[in-house]
Amino acid sequence: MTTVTKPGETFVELKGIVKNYRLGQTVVSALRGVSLQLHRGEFTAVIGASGSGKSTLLNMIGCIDDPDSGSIRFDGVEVTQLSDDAKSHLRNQKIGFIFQSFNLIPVLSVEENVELPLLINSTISVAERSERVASALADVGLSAFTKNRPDQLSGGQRQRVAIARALAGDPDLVLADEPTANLDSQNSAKIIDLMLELNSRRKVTFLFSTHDANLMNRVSRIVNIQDGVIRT
Amino acid sequence: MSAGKWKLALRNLSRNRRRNFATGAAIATGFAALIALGGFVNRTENHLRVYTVYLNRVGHINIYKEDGLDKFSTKPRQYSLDDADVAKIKQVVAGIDNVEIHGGQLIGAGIVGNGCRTVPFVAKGIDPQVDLQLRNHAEMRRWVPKLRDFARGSGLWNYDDQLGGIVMSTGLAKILGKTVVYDELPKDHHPVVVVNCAASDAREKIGADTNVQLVAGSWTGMMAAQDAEVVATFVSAIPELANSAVETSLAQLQRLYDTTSVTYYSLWLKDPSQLKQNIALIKERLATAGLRVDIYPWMDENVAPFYSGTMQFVYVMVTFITFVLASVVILSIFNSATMTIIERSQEIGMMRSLGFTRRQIRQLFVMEMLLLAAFSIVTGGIVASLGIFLVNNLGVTYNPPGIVGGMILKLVPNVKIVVQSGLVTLSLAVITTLLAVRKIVRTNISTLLLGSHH
Repeated sequence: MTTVTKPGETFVELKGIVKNYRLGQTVVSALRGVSLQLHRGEFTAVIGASGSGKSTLLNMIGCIDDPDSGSIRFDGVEVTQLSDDAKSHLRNQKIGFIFQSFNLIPVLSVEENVELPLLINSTISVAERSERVASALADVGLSAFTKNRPDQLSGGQRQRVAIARALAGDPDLVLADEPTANLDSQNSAKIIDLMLELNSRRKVTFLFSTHDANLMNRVSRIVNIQDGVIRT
Repeated sequence: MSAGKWKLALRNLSRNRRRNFATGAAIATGFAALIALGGFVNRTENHLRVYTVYLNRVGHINIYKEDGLDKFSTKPRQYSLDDADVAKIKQVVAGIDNVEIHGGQLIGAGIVGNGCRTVPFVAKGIDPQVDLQLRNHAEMRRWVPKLRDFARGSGLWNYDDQLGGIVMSTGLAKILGKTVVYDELPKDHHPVVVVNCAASDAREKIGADTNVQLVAGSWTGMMAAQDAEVVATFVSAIPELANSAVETSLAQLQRLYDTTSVTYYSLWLKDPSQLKQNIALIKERLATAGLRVDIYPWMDENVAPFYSGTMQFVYVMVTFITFVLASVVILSIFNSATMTIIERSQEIGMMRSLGFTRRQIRQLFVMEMLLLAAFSIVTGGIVASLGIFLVNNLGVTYNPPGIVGGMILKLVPNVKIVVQSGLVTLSLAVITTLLAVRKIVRTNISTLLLGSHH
């Protein structure tokens, strides 16, 4: 059952999430009973040391990994019970992803990269697709680079393409795993500024992981994770 | 959606051009080789089929007296078709539109002499007009244009039956020392009588004359002999007959054996694809007419052992070569696809994150391979066309087992072979790609995103 939540209301809820990884003979506990609520329109940073479980937490929320136990509800839907195809559909329709290493397809132009998630959304017409791509690229200030290939762009520009790609599907939630880790401090600040602006203008919920202490005072909410447990 | 995916697949082909070129070359070579192989089999099959059916006169349908095929040689009177049998067969045949040519044939053996030397012969007697129709058949012109011509002379249909004309294999003519045929004799030629075979001019005299004597035991138990004139010689492709084959008119051979019967009755069809239905119909109608017969289709190993044995050998050989070819293509595609997947595992993870399903990822790789295979097939088709043109014009002769004088190597593919080869190549490409991507689409997305799939 899907319920539509209003701004400020909880729309993602994690309860008692446990995730262990087996590395050879060793079992590593990445998440130890994590519970978390995300509210619509929030701009939240997940902070913590390397290996603390930040990426795993984002993966759980983004439905790209399954917990060993616990519950994840997305807009009222228990996603741990969904089939792989249903989770793919959910990711395509409701979640945008921004990756540390941008993950753009080198043989596609900027606009084609942004269009990529829309190609598999059968509810969007070709005309609407073009509109959304143009709008997303305008939002990230790359309208002049639509025909460029990723290798013709700077790191900051590439990440902006990735942000445009995440926004093109008009998602409820954008997950960004260390989006500034591969950028210098100047570009990092610009990316955070852009994400903040989009959060404010598009009312898109952002959840991103970061190491960068400079960014922490610019977000409305911080989730501190240590050894697989949320501390604040 | 599809256009975007095809575009992505096409663009992806521009990555790793050297690898894709190598894979494409393997596919193109495999496809070209399949066409060439198919062309070889098609030509060989048609050559042997037409040789068997029209030149060697094994009709599409051959009607024997019950058990006649096995027992005719020992009890010809009992196991041949007499006039009454032939009349019933003709009546049945008259009601079947698909029969193009028909006629009885008589097989016999004996000895043939030139006055000084005698050797065994195996003779086949057929109505010369039927022979004329068979030799002029479009299939003969297409598939065995050289073999349908006589080595020397012309066909029996050009001569009065009273002449006693015969056609013999070049090997037999050589053994009998016959160097000319009837039409080459001078107008003032007189029959030659060689009194002394040891004389120095005996060989020359025999060679300059076309007369031979056929001697055989008649079906009535008497010894019979006939004078005959060699009107033509032909190259027998079958080694067993190369030094012993004789062809006569049916009437002449019947006179030699003192019979009006035939060994079997053959039908040649307009549309051979109706063979089974026609056999069933003839069986039923002859049974109704009270005639007990055995009916053999032309490819039955009992009536056409040469065709049957040779084609079995060809099919085994071609199957083996196809298997080797397919293995090379499969391994090449699998290797290429696996390397591509390893390189793109992070990208696959990203696409899965964006909402691509497992099926859609598989689809993308298959599309990519289909495009590569399509390019390769077009290239392979061009290469095959050039190669086949070259081979067919080189006039290379090869000596397959059991064929006297060898065969000219020709590759004759047809549309069906090209389409089938294309489908086989595409199927191999798709199946191999699916096998290669099978594991990765099941891999956890977060593992793929780390780029540590392998």
